[in-house]
Amino acid sequence: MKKLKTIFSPRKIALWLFILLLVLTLPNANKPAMSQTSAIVTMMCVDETDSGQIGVAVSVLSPSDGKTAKYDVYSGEGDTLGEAVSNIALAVGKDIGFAQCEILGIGDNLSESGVMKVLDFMTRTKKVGRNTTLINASGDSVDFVNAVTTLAMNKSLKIEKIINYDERYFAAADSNVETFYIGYYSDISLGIMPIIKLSTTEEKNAIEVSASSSQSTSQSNNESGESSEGKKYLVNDGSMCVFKKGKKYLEIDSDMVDKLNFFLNESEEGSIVVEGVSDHLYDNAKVTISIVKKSIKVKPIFDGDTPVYKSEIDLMVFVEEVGDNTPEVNMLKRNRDFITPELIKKIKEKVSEDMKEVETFSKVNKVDTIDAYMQFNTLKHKQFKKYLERVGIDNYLDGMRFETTINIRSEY
Amino acid sequence: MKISYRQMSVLILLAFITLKFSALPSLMYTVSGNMSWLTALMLMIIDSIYVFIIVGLMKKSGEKNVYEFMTACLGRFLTRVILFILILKYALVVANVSKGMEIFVIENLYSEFHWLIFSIPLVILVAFMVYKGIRNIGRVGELVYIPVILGCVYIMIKAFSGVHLQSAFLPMFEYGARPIFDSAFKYVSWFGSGTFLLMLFGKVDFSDKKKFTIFNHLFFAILLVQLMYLIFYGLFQITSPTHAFCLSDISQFSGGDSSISELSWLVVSLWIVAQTVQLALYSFALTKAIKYMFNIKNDIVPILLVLVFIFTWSYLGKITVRLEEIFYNPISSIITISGAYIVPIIICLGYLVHNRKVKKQKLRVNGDEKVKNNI
Amino acid sequence: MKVNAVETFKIIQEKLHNSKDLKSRVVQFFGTELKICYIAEITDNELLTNGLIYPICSYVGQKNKDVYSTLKNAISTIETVDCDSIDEAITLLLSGKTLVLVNKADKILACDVEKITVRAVSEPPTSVVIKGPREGFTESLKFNLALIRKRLKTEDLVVNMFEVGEITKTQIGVVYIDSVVDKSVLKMVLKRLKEIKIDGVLDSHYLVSYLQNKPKSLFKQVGDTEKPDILVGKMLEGRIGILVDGSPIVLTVPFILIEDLQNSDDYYSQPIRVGFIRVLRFIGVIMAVLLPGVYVALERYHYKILPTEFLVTIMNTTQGIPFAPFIEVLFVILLFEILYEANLRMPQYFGMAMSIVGALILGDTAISAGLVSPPTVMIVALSGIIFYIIPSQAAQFSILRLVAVVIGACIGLYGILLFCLFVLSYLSSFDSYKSAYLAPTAPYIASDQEDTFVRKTIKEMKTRPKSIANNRKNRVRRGKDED
Repeated sequence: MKKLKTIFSPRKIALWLFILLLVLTLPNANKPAMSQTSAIVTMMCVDETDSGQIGVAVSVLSPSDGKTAKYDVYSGEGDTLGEAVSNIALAVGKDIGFAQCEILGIGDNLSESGVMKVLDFMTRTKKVGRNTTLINASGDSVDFVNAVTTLAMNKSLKIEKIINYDERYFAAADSNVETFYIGYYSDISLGIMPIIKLSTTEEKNAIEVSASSSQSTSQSNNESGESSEGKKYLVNDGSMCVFKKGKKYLEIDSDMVDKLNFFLNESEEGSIVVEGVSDHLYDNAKVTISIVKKSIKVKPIFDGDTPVYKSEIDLMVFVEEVGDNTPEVNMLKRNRDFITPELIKKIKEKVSEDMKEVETFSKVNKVDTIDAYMQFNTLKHKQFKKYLERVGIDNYLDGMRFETTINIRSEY
Repeated sequence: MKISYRQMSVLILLAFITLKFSALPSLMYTVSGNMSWLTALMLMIIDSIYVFIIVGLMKKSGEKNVYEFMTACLGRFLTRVILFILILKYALVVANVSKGMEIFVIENLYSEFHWLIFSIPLVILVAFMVYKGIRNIGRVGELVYIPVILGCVYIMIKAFSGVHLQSAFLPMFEYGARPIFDSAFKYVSWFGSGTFLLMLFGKVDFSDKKKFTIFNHLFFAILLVQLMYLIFYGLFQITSPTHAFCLSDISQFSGGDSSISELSWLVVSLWIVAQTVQLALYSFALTKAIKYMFNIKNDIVPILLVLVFIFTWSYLGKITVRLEEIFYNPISSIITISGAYIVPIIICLGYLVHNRKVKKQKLRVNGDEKVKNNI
Repeated sequence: MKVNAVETFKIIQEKLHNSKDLKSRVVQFFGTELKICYIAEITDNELLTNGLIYPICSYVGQKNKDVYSTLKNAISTIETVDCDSIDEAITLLLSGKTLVLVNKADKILACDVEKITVRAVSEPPTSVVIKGPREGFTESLKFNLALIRKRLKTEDLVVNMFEVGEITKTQIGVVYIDSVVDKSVLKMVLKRLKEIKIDGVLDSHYLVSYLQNKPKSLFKQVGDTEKPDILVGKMLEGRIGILVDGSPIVLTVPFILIEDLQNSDDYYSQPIRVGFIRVLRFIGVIMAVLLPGVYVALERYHYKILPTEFLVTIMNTTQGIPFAPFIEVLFVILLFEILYEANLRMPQYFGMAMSIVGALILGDTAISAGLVSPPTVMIVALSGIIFYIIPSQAAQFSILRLVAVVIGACIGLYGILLFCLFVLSYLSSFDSYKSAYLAPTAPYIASDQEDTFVRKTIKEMKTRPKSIANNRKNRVRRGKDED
């Protein structure tokens, strides 16, 4: 018994366990850093090729002699996304690490055929963070990744930073895997992502990406991913892509996005232009108004059986630019004095007109980008449910009435 | 080797919050949707009431341990039955905490990780803490709870701007109140957090008692859990069931600027510390219950049994898929309800009946003495 | 015992194996021959001549009933002890006393003409202060006691003296304030000291393992100080000081970990600044121990945790390094420890050159040669420097750092977290003389928080710390009822 006690003494058991632990773990200690044995992806773009295969292009972080990052672009194809990713891994000779992936681009073809399989694979299997920015990458995926990588290396402009900045102006820019999921799994199955286009011609809001000056080493295993020569432009004008049930439903141009922003709390800043302002200060002037802070309070109510989307918008504004017929701006006037009653009237007219356009757009296209469903479903659930039973989930916007109150305040 | 009143309150706080911040919010959402916070609130209030009942009994027990106290009040047979139920309840919590930790560590911190590398250091540490006794666990709890709570609060503050409050609460009672009770029954194994207190009879020093210490800690624990649920459901809304780790997923998603990456994981890692303390606490309770049940003199054999249990559990996880379903099947719920909610009531009733008998006997003896004196 | 001066001297000579430093002189006193014997090297020659021999020779007083008592009168200016046995006399002789052997007397007279060789009181190198007293203890027990007495003019100061060491017979002084000290703790300390069986005690650290509850533990459980103001401060809180003759370091018990975060400077500086510094020390300790281990773990297993920009920096600087992160960090740590050890033992004029060679040339060439990466050198150097925020614990922390690195490399962040918890749990598990080692944090003692991470003003600190067992609750006795 005594002998048994000495054998099974707590210290001895702990010691043996510790030795076992050392035996198990010591070989791990002498292995190189995981950052050296993994290909760390910072951006990836997925698209469907014309032959129906899945093409993946990734921008991989690689060490440089300087202080800044160097990126290599790799691409691969396969029948499935998993196969395409493994093809890249085989070509690179490293595990692909997606934890640092900050941008996930979905190509045009894939957007048309359905995006959810890709997202599911990337988040569940490959552990792409749910806060990864999601974009609709319009253009060849390898070229797109090349362009973004070149932009990051040559101009120190990171596309995710640009998008983060844009969130203040375009509500749709605030799109990541999680928000897309939330939209997709909601009853109306609606997802939104910003469109970033790769163009060969210079357009509005385009950033030039000189492919010839790219330092990236473009490699591929299946198909060459070399970027074509000549100037290329990344166009980020705020336009967005609406997905219904995971498939591309329609594109909303930047003008409409500007108008849509009035309904959404996410975007707080912007500008509007009013024309034909005439009063004691202005003479048929074209005035650019900067919106410094915008907030919207939505109160969904039912007027009998009719749902009323009642909203109250507060705009804090200042006059940014006065053009056309106003001869001169009186510098002695205080800023507040530029917000004349006439100008306020014009602003209200303009905002109201824009919002009406959005209402019509939403009703015609049956696309609820203004979160009306969520507002009614959460705050007037029972009545809205009855209403939905009556009109059907696709037509609930048709019978909805929109009432808006606009308040204008001077910034000062 | 007693713990202070404050240390006991801290252990209660840790026991109340640790299990709630891992998989539970996500699991509960599948049954009671965004009303799950109400389920949690209801069960936590019930747990709090039980904490006060057990602490009350603890004070009445004086220096007696729970076995002595129960034997005196309920007799040996009933005591053994109760201890058996408690062993099952504690084993369930130990298994639940260790499983939660294992999944958290292996899936979030490592690309590949051998289960033995997870289990061995954990088992050594837990064995050490249990061997050193409740005073050690109490002191460690006292040391770690402030950083743990600060970490949680930091994550909550960071995440709050992205929370959609409306979706966190509304629509309320979409499918009536039934899902709340369904989910309460299904996930009750995650609750009954104050049950460990039964094994602390005679081990708490009530001399430094301050008013409201337990109440304050309980209130804070409930507040923290409710806020975390609010943030979790407000942040993830309908996708909540896909987020298996409440705290880590909140921290990961709430970065805003994606370049922050997963730095918050360091804060989340503190959670491992809190869970280890919880594991040690329930392993201690399990050890004591085994010791009393089988009348074992020393602590080493029960500790070894508990360690073997943790090891086996960890190993089973490798060979059986969906092991965690054990935690939400009806048998587990019945064990928890019996262990956490029926047992304290039985002990309480037993004590009251016993106390009455003792009083009557005293009165009779006093009466007899008076009669004798009069004669 | 009847003393025969010649015979007794012979016995003493034999007992000391005819040691050549035993000297003797013969003096006549009232017709009786006195033999004065002493050990020349430890006897103050001037005091011997002027304080002992001259008074004997020039004594003009009357003879008492016997020579021995007359002699005592004659040399009343110096301290004397009557020895009943030769052994006792020899012990005193060896400790610097001079023996006067009087024929036919019953006793031997031991006179205190000891030569006290002490270095001047100077500021101890281990606890340099910017503000505050600069006096430090010396190697002389008597001197050290004087320094304490100078600061504690109270009847409550008690000094217990006894000898430890079968051969060295080293004097040990146990000092405490009687009205403050916890009697059970005192009893425990005295019991442990009296039970010591050892050949010799050359420094106070010889006693440490006898005083510790867990002698094999890495963490120190007995405090030490070289400054009397610190010792008195600790005694005022209820601690006991243990002085050893021949050692400038005084041991204090009970000892709790927070003591090492407190510095004597703290009590002479502005409280807000002290709070900041103490938090800094606390964070520093954590950083020093964990930084290299966490770095290895992050590099080896958890690059996902790092922000991309930081990862880029790490990747750029670590490319081409032939070793695994673990080996790299281990190499730099060992290099650092070797340099430290060499620097410590080198003569001062070499030290500077050594620092330059070690820090600049070795470090720089190792980086240039691609053997180690700059972040590794920076992290290990940073952690090495931070250790010296708490110099007294640097040795322990450097071992913990090494363990953290091994665990970080083997198991990663999970292992480091469990390691931290293990250390906390281990420290929580032991008490030092009725005081919890991690008090007043675990167990939390609200009243003691006034001198933990923040320090209140001296005026506000009215109670003694409860973390340390003591007998008197309040620092200032304002009325009888207050205790």
